[in-house]
Amino acid sequence: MTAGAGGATAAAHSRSRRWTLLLQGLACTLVCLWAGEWLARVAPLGLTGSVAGMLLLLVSLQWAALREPVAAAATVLLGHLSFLFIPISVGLMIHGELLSRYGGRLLIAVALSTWIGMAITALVMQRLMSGPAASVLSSSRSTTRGD
Amino acid sequence: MTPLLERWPALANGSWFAVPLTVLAYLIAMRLHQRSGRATWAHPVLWAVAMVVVVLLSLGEPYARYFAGAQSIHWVLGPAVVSMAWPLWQRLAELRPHAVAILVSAALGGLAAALSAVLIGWALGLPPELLRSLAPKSVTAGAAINISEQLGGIANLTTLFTLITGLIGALSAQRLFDAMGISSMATRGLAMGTAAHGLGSAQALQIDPDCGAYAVLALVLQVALASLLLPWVVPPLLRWLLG
Repeated sequence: MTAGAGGATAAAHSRSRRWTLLLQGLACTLVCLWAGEWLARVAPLGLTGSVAGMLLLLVSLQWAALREPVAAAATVLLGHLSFLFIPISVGLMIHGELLSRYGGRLLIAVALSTWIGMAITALVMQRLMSGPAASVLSSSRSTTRGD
Repeated sequence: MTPLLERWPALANGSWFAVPLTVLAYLIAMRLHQRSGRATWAHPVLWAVAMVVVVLLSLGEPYARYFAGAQSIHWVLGPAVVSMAWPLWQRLAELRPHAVAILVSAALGGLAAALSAVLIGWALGLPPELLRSLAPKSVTAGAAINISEQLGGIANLTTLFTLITGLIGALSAQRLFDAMGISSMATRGLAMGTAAHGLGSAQALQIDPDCGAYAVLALVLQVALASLLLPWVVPPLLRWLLG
């Protein structure tokens, strides 16, 4: 797993600096998560603690000093995001009875509606973006801010 | 098991091998994915989950004990969702001029996913409590549970539907967009986050940074949009369908 945060630092210090950045970034992330969980409990907006925490972190990123550490932590945390979904996904196994009774029909309903949802989102977006102002978005890659 | 391990609360009621098993299954699945030339059917989560399920069933280990043991992995999802702020922030400036287009497509796409799930389920003769649990399946799991309870659904089932939605979305999105002729990574990402929440976004982040940023944006938007819209739209639809 890479913990790269850019590549501007001197080679001798880059390793320990990377670790420092990573730990600082993880600390920021955890503080936002904790604050987000508190916020979600106090103000029931239907947001989960982690989504509220993400919005808090997004606001905090206005503060430039946080950007490099948060980027380092995000690279590590998001690098293998799908791995983190394995424990909850294994929960499929306890719904065996329900799945054997309604499984086929549920799968059809879930699959079709997921495709319909993705297709409608994409078609509406493509339609709304087909104007002249859309050239930025339809180009295959755009510039990245803040690196 | 050593006394030290037993004193660690997460492991006291959990299978001690849950974490190593999960890591090992993921590593093997990743290898398989690479060997297959990154084929869709070889999605690492799918095969890792299958391997873990087979091992647990053959050992007779209950899921609750496995999950208690693998809690530390599951817990990292919280900080990971928070850190999605970074890819989002990087593109905030270029997203702003398209705010209306993004909002409209996310709202329509999210509604289409929820309502078509209810309608198709109804047409196939699924019982009402399953229909209520189906509606919020395109929203990320934590928020979907809240919405499901508001609609009178069963939270446990909603988690399951959310999961299958995410897997199907992640597995099939690229092929669907190729067939539809949608090449913009921004549009692809937005659609994956809207209809397939976290797993869709995880897949999008691995495909392309732009695709990932739009997926994350769509995931967040969907939490807000679905929490606001579904409690207004789904109960009347169900009343009308079920008479």
